[in-house]
Amino acid sequence: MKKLGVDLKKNIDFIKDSTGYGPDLVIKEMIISNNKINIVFNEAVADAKFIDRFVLNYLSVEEKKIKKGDIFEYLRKYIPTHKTTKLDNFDNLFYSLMSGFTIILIDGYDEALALETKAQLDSGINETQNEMIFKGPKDGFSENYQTNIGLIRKRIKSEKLFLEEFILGTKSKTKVGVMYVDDVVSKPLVKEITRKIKRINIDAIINSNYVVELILENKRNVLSDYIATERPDTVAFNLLEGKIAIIVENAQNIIIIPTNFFEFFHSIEDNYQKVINANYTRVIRITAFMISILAPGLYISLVTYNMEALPDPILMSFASQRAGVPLPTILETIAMIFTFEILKETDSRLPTAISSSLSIVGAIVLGQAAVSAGLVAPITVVVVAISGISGMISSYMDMRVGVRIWRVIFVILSGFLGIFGLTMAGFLFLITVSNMKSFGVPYFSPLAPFNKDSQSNGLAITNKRKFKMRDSLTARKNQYRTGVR
Amino acid sequence: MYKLKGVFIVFLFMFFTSGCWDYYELNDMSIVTAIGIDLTENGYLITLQVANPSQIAGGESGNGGDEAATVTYEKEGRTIGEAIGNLMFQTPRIPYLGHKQILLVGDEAAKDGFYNILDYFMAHTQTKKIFPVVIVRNGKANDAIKILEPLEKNTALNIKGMLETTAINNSMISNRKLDEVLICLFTEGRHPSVSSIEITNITEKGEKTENISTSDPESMLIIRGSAVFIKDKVVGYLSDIDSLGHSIARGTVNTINITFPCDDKENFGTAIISRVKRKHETIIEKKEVKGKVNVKGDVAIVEYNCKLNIENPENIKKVEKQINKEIENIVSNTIKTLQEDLKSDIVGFGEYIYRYMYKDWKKYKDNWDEVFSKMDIEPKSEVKITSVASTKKVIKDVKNDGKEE
Repeated sequence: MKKLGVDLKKNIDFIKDSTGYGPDLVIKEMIISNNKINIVFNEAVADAKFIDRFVLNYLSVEEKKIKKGDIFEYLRKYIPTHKTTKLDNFDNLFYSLMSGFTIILIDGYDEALALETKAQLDSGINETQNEMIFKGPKDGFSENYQTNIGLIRKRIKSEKLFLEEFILGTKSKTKVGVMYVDDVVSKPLVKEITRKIKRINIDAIINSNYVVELILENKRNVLSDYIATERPDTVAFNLLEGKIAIIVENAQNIIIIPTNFFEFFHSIEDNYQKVINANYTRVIRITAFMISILAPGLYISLVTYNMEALPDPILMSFASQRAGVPLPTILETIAMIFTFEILKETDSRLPTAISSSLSIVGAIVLGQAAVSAGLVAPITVVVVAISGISGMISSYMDMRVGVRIWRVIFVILSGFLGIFGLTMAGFLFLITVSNMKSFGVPYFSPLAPFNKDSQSNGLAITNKRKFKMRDSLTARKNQYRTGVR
Repeated sequence: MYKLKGVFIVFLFMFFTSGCWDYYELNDMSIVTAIGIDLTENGYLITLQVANPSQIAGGESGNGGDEAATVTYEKEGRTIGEAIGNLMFQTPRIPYLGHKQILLVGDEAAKDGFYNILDYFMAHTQTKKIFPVVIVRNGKANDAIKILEPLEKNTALNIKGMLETTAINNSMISNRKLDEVLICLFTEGRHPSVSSIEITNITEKGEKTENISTSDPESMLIIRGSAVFIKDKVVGYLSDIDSLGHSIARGTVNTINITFPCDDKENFGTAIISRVKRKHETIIEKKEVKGKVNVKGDVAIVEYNCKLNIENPENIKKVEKQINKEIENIVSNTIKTLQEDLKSDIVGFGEYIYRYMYKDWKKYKDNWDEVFSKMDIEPKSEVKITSVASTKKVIKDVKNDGKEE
C-alpha cells in the first residue's frame, strides 16, 4: 500500500500515471489562503453539478475565513457534505475516486479528504429489453455515454480500468471510448485497435457498429465477429477476461471485441446459476443451433434422396403426410422458410398492439389452414418451425440473423444433392468458420485450435472455485483471477 | 484469389448441371414392405407387398377409412428383374425396395437354389442387405404374403415381429438376414440356415378381411423351425426343438426356455437360461475328426412341480445335472438329425478347421459333408442355477406352520 506523500505534485503525478489520466478524470487546481489545493474527481461517476454548487462554491466563498490554522482540519469539519473521510494511502484514494468521491489534496499534507459526491447513475437507466435474464442485475445501457461508462465503472472500481477517448465523425463529432483493464488486456491489440480507430474517416458515427465495421478484418462473413450487448454485467465480465469494450456516444449497444463463436451461445446468466444447470442450458443452445441450420436440409435430403436412412415407422408417417401435396419438397420448404421470415420481420417492426393480432393470423392461416388445405405437409411446417425457433436461441441478434443465411445454404445444397450436399454444406460451414478470426483470436477457439486453459468458459462453464484462469487467448497479463497462485 | 473464385464457380455449376441426381419425391414412391419369390414354369413369380402409409401411420393424416393396410402386386418373369420391371404396368408409383422388411421364399424356389435370387438384391443400389430371409415351409410365398392377421395387418411387420419375439424368448429359430446368408455362402466349411414359417390352413379366406374380423383367424402364419441348406439349395427343415439345438450349437442364443423332467414320476420344471455362452471346436486326433460343443449359462428356475426339495443345496446340484442333461440331449439330437438325415454342417465345425487348421482343411475340403456326417460330436453343458422361484414350499410352510409333511 503506497502512502500519500507530502509533495502535492508528486501525488497528482502518481494519480495521473496510475489511472492513465483518462478524460473523465478531472483535476482542478485552486489556491486557498496560500495553500495549493487540488480537487480530483471522476466526472463519469461523480455528480459534477453538486461539486460545482457546494464544494467549489464553498471553497471560494469561505476563502477569507480560513486565514490561519490547520486548513485540512478546517475543511474536514466545515465542508458541507454528508460524508467526509480522511485518506492516507493510494488504494483507498483510488477506490474513493472511482466510486464517485471528490478527493481534495492539499500541498504539505500526507493525507487527503474524500467527499461523497456520487452521481445518481441509476436514474434514467433502462431495464434490458433484448437480452432478458431472470436472475441477476436488470440495469441496461442507455444512450447516455457518461452513464454507460459509469455503469461499467460501477462494476470494476479498479483504477486499472482505462478509458481512451476519440472524437470521430467529421460532422457528428461523436465520442468513442475504448475501455479495457490495463493490467489484463493484450497491449498490442489495444494499440492496433486505437490505431485503426484513429484512421477512421467518416462523416458521422450513428451507432456503435459503425466503428467496429470500419475497423473489421473479415468483411464478408455472415456470422458476426463482435458482440454488441446492452448489459453492463456482460461488459464487466468480458473486460476482466482481457477484452476491449467500445463505447459510442448515443449508442445503446456496447461492442465487445475480440470474441469467438461459442460466446454467442453464452449468457451472462450462466454465471449466476449452478454450474450443472448452466451447462445443461449450454448443451441445449448448441443443439438448437445445429437443429436450426441442419433440420430443413436434413429433412429434404431424407425425403427426396436418402429414404433408406429413415427408420420404417418414420418413413410411413412421412409418406402418409406427404401424400397429395402439390409442391416438390424443396420448394415447399423454401416457401415455408420465407413465410416464417416474413412473419417474423413484420412482427418485429410493428407496434405490439398490431403484431400480437398479426401473429395469431400468421399462426392459424399459415400453419393450420395451409395444412388442412393440403398445400403443405404438416411435417414441413413442423421442421421449418422447429428450425426457426431454434435459430432464435442466441441472445445476440447478430448470430440470429446469421443463422438464417446458413440455413438456406444448407437447404439449397441438400435439395440438389441430398445427404451428400448436406455434408458439403457442413464442410463449407466448418471451413468458413474455422478460417475466421476476430481481431486475431481464432473464431472457433477454444475448441479449434484447442486451448485447455480457456475451457473454463468455452463450451461448458466451470465452477467458480475452479474458475481461476482468465481466457488466455485475450488476457495476456495477470492470467490468474485470484492473484495468488 | 481469382483462380480460387473460378474453381468455386466451376464447383457451383457441378451442382446445378448434374440436376437432381437420384431425386424422388416420397409421394411418387410406393413403399414395398415384403417381397415373395416363388418358382413357376416360366421362371419366377414375384409378389410385392406395398404398404398403404395412411393406414399404417397414425395421426390425423392416417385413419383413411376402410382401405386395406397393404396391397399386393404379383407378376411373372424369367428373371426377378424382369418380373419387377413388368410390375410397372400395374402400379401407379415406382416400387421402392429400400425399405423392405422381409424376403419370403417359397419352398420350391428355395429348393431350386438361391444363387439366381441373390444377384438382384446384391446389385440393386436401393436395397439394403440387412433384412431377414424366411422360407415358407409348406407352400408359396405368394400365399403367405396375402394372409391378413388381426393385430399386425402388414404381413412383413407381422413376420418380423414374430421372428424378433421368438429370437428373444426361446431362440427356436435361426434368425438369419440376407447379408449373413451371403457370408455363409462365401465361407468354406459352413452351410447357411434360415428361419422358416408355416401357413396353417391355406384357404381363400386368409386373404380377406373376414380373416381378421374373428378372434380366431382361420389362416395364420407360424414360425416353425429352420431351413437347412447345402450350398445355396434348401435340403430340408429342422423341427422347433432341433432349431433350438442348432441355435445353442451355433451360439446365437439370447435366452433358452427349457423344460426338464425332475422326478421319476412325470413331473416337470421350467428353467430360463440366460447369458448363454457356447464354445465349439473341432479336434483332429489320429486322422479322426471330433467335435466339441460347450455351453455355459445362468439358470433361473421359474416353475418347479417336483417333490424334491429345491431349497436343499444338494438337490440343486441334482436339478442342475438334469438341466445339463436335457440341454446335451437337445444338442445331440439336433446334430444327429444334421448328420444322418441332412448331411449338412450348418454349425460350422468345418469352418473351425478352415480357420485354425488350414493345412488339414485342404484334405477335407472336397468331401467335408461326408466327414461331418460321420464325425463324433460331444456336447457338454455346464449351466449353473443362480436363482430359484418356487412358491410351493413357502405355501406349504405357511399352511403347516413350518412342519414338514
